Amino acid sequence: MNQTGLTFKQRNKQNTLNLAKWTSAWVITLAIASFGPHFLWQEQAVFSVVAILLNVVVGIMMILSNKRQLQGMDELQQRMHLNAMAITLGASLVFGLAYSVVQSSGLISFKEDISHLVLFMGLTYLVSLLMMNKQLNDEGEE
Amino acid sequence: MKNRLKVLRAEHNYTQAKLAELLDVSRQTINAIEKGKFDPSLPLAFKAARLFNLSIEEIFQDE
Repeated sequence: MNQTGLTFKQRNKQNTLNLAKWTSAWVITLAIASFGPHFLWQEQAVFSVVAILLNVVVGIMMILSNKRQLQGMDELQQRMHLNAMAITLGASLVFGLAYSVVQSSGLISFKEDISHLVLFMGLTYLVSLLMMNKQLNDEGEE
Repeated sequence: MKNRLKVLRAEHNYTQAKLAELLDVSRQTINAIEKGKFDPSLPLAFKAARLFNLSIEEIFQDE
């Protein structure tokens, strides 16, 4: 237990729930900002600006919540996430630029989108964490 | 780094989950330290030493 009076497990659970709430709110505000102009407010600029600002504010709260969750982890978990972030950043840079070169040289004609990068980063992060987890592997209590 | 965490834990009848709770870390971390796959930080080593009423050197040894 620490000064919050919560055990490590409880603290971790609380931080994860908090992050889940802010992430859900961010996804919802992103959807509103994306689809609102067409389906809700018939392209009125004022509403679009408000929706985008709201999305950014909620996004900042999500970032802070993510930071709080990472700080609440123990040292092994923090190290694993740090490694996963390093792998994700490196892979995005290397493969992103390699893709850019391949595309500019006309070898492929695939139309990329920012969501592809987000998907790539998310999957790289997830796979890195799973591999590290497997490496350390929790073989259970002995 | 070698350590006697598993032996000490058994002597005190602690499960990995209980020891993790007492040291304010995850059970996975206790498991990784016991298996020698992860070396704890100095603050965590001090915490373990205080818990078992031993010096750090009596729990962790350099290989």
